[in-house]
Amino acid sequence: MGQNKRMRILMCHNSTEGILCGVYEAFTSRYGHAYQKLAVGPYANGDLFSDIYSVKVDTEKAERVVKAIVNKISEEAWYRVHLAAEADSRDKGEIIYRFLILAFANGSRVLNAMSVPEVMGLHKLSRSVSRETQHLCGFLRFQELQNHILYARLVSRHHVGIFLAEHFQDRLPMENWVIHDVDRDEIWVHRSGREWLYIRHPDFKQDPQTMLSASEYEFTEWWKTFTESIAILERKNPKLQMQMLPKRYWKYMPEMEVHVGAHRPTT
Amino acid sequence: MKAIWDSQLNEKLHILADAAKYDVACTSSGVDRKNGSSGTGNTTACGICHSFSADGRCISLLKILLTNECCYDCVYCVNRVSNDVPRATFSPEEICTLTMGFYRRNYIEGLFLSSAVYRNPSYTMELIYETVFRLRTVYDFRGYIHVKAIPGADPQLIRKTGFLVDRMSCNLELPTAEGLRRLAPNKPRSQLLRPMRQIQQQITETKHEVAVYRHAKPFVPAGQSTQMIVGATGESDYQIMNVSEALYGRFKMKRVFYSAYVGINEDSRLPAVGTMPPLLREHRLYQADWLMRFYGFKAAELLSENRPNFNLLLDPKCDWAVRHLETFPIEVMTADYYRLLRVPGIGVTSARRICRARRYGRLQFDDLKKMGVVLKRAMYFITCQGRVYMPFKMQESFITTNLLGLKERLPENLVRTEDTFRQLNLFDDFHLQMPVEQEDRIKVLTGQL
Repeated sequence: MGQNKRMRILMCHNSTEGILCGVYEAFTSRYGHAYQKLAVGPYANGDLFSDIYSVKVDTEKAERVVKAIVNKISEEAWYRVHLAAEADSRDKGEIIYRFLILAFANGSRVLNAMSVPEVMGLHKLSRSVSRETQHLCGFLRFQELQNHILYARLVSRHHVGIFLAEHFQDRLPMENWVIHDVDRDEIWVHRSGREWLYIRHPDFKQDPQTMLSASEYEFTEWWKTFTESIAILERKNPKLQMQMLPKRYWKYMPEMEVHVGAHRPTT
Repeated sequence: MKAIWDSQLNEKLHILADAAKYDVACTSSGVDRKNGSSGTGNTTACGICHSFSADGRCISLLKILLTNECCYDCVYCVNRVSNDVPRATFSPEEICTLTMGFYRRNYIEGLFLSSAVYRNPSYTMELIYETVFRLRTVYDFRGYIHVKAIPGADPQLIRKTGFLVDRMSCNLELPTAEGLRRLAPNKPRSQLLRPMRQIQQQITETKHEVAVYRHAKPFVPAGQSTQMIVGATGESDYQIMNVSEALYGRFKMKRVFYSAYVGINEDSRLPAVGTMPPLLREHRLYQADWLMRFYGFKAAELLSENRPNFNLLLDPKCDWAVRHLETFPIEVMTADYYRLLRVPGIGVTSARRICRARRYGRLQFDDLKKMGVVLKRAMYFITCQGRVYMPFKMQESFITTNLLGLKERLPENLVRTEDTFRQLNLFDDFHLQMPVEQEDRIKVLTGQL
């Protein structure tokens, strides 16, 4: 009988919450882990032998899963799962799902089992996201607007905005700042002394680039002067520079502005 | 609004950043200080790189001199009093403006303030103190600050400054006292070591205090560092490594930096202007430095009186391993952490991963590969569950040839001229775990950890 059981593909919303809800669904359905898969929306590749179910986002369910991970596995496991859930990957839902099956059964020591593919997969994904977060903690650039708001444009492979918001919440608590994920059209807003807020599809009344403060020009020029003067020309090594500071981050860094234009292929 | 363009400050910044560029240290690591929701800034233990300059070095701090008007005449230095270079001096307020402006825009992690000796050491130190004090109190800046301790300055000033900054450094300049006498007549070795000793003692003292009293102020929490010029005088790598070892051991340095000498001054006592800086040699010194700090190597293991210099073709660890084949192969499943670290191709991260993973299950060569072990180097030195990766001749010459065959891309002209060009990877002390110290144990008791 069991052999004729059809495969179920649980399609979740592409967000940490969405994936956690998928996990909740998969665990509570009692359909059997072997017959379920987690896919991340908006589209899933179905086939003749499987049915696609779409999972609704429910904050309460997601929170219950988080609690379970923290209590039954460990804080570190939740940290890794959260990072992985924000990755730019089609398989992340499935990787997290498979990892959690193993982890709920074995407890926190499962994170040590680097040679197990499920664990390695999660580590790889979370490491990649955490690396990009670390990069952008350094490479993100704020511009000062006329009303003293700091405005930063973000381009990233993974969806790292939330981790950056956490970082800058502690770093610049007395500033008003905005981090704008340009490609995904989302912002993280922080008001002096408060917690940050997340807004999808913000509606800017005016392009921030037209509202730069008077001293903004000065500071970018000084910064360019500094970065040029600090290089030792006898040791020049553009390859190393590119390796350490990949080109995809150059776009909004004032000191690399000249280079962006110079290297851009003509179309 | 019209942009006011302060070209004078721009000019100053150009001169004083240019003058500071030969200082190697640009690390912002070592302290983890949360902001605590007021003021500006925090610091993270692993440090953050904010940009990379054209030479591929990390830009983490606003690295500038307070002034380059120097009253000393050190032969190797651009700013020596007898050189005809443009001179400039920042006011403390200007430095604060730049630091805060850059920090808010997330250009930098903090300030690295160094200085030429202006009038006399104490006067210069006073200016540095004033700047840092202003930054910490008036601007409530909580980011990273690294300053130079000026040798010969009043110890009281160094003490006061140390309570405000994260890291202090005092450059050793040249590895030997003899070289120093010849090239830096105003800086006798004893004068350079005095502030180092003072800072070290102060750090130890306050560490106890901080451990016991919650609100005691830490003194130079990120520790002190120093720097030596390599290739300006004739000392061997063996001498340099011994000096570093002593600095790490007796002075509890956090870092010793090596700076390949860049020919800038015309002088008969120095290599000619235009000689390429010995970058590959510098790279090897850094590799050996890492081996001493994190891999448990001693300087005497790597080099000796008879072999005073590193093999430029092979990194120091491979070089050591092929000369000590009697200790290999080691079994990955059973060897302890420090034995694993001795294998070329296994680093701190992969050794740790192996130790974690083998508790859970048996490891195959494939697993090692996934954990980041470089098998093409490690294969000659390890067995995995009693098996070797593939059969080979356990012979020094055979292994050396093979190790040389893969290898880092060395410059083509290397074999011909021996010491010439290769850029190092100036990576930083990321993800390093500090050893648990007595103070930490007390902190656990008092609930600070």
